[in-house]
Amino acid sequence: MLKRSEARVIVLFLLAFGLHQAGIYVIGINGSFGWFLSLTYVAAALITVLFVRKQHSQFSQHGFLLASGAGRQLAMAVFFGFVYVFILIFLPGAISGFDALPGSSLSLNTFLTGGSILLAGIASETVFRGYVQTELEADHGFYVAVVAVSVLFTLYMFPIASYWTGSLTDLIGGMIPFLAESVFLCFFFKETKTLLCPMAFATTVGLLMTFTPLEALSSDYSLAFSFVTYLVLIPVMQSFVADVRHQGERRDDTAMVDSEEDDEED
Amino acid sequence: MRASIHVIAASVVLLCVLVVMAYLPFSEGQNEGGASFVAAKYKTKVHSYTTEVWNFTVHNTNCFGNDGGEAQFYFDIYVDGSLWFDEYNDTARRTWPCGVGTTVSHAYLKDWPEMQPFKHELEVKLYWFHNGTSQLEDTMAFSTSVVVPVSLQHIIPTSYLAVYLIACALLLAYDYVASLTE
Repeated sequence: MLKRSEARVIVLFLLAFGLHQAGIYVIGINGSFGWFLSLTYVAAALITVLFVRKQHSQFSQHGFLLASGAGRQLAMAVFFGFVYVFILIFLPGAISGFDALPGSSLSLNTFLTGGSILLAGIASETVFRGYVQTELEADHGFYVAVVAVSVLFTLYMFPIASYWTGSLTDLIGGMIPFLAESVFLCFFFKETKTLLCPMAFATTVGLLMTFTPLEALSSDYSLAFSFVTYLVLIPVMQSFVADVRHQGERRDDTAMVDSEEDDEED
Repeated sequence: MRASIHVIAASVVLLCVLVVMAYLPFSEGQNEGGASFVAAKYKTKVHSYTTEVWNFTVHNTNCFGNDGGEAQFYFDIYVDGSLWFDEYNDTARRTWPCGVGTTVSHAYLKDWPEMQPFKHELEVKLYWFHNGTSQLEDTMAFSTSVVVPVSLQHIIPTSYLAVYLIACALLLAYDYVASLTE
């Protein structure tokens, strides 16, 4: 029998998945309906907020907070986004060469695409890290939550229609980067406790992948590079976050000692 | 128990939505009668100095030919708004036959001798040639990106590599300064 929290997680996932599929379907019919996909992202994020409100839990528990050192955390998330895309494009490209793609000119459409990527990052992180991971982690522990969230996240993000007629190897190969990304984002959220970091990372990666008009010529390496990059980035990210956290704790300790000294002087 | 019922209800609703989406006709822009495109094979990304093959499949619903013969059709293909291929005037055969209720496929070759990457907008118009006049039956549009293979030394990868490195350096510098000032 399902627990209430598990049932809520499944219902939220089904709602988010259905909205996302509907958005993709509408764009498939008419490419100029990109705003509808953005609307589904907003709806998914708002539904998650409603779920949090309905069970009367604190928003800060679900990552809706700005911790001390938020500027550094944001810079760190953007930095990791740059590092990830850099490794994904330039390392295999240096081996096999590049395909130079047509660049995008600065137009209203460019801003709409950018806005849609930002909303996609906000929606996916609010649903999967903010709600699903928090709920499952409370009941089953972090590692079970990571596995469950990553499977659900992959189902949500994976463009099933593009692989429908492909082989099973293509299907599994196409899913691995999403699984690896989700594992990294789960660790990122666990370490930072705020949704700001996974949102900033996902948005940075989305924007860079969309607006960098370069692709590594051979896709043979990209899968391995993507997977290994995330594995390497997890401990690097953890040490960065630990550094920011320790500095914040030292600052708090210093402030406490100062205030105690002031009290003694009084 | 109530929780499980909610999950089952949500799953059923989602399944219904997906089934409706799967079975809705995906025929935006197609004609009710006459003749229309039913399939098209093309690449959305091609390398420069390669030849691309376009394959268009047309179904004739109720276009009749002269004197009881098969209906005659031809294509006009526009690249970036300019007429690139006028089948009626550019070929010896001028038109091709397609009887009522039948489906016909025709393939066309296109070279892309380009030095720079570029996104081309293409439009294919299907005409029915009947009693000496041409009648537009259907139109389809798609885009193709011509990509250029380059090495790391080329200006495009080099410039983006520089942008990435500068951005990373700036972010690390911000992190260092923020760690000193906070």
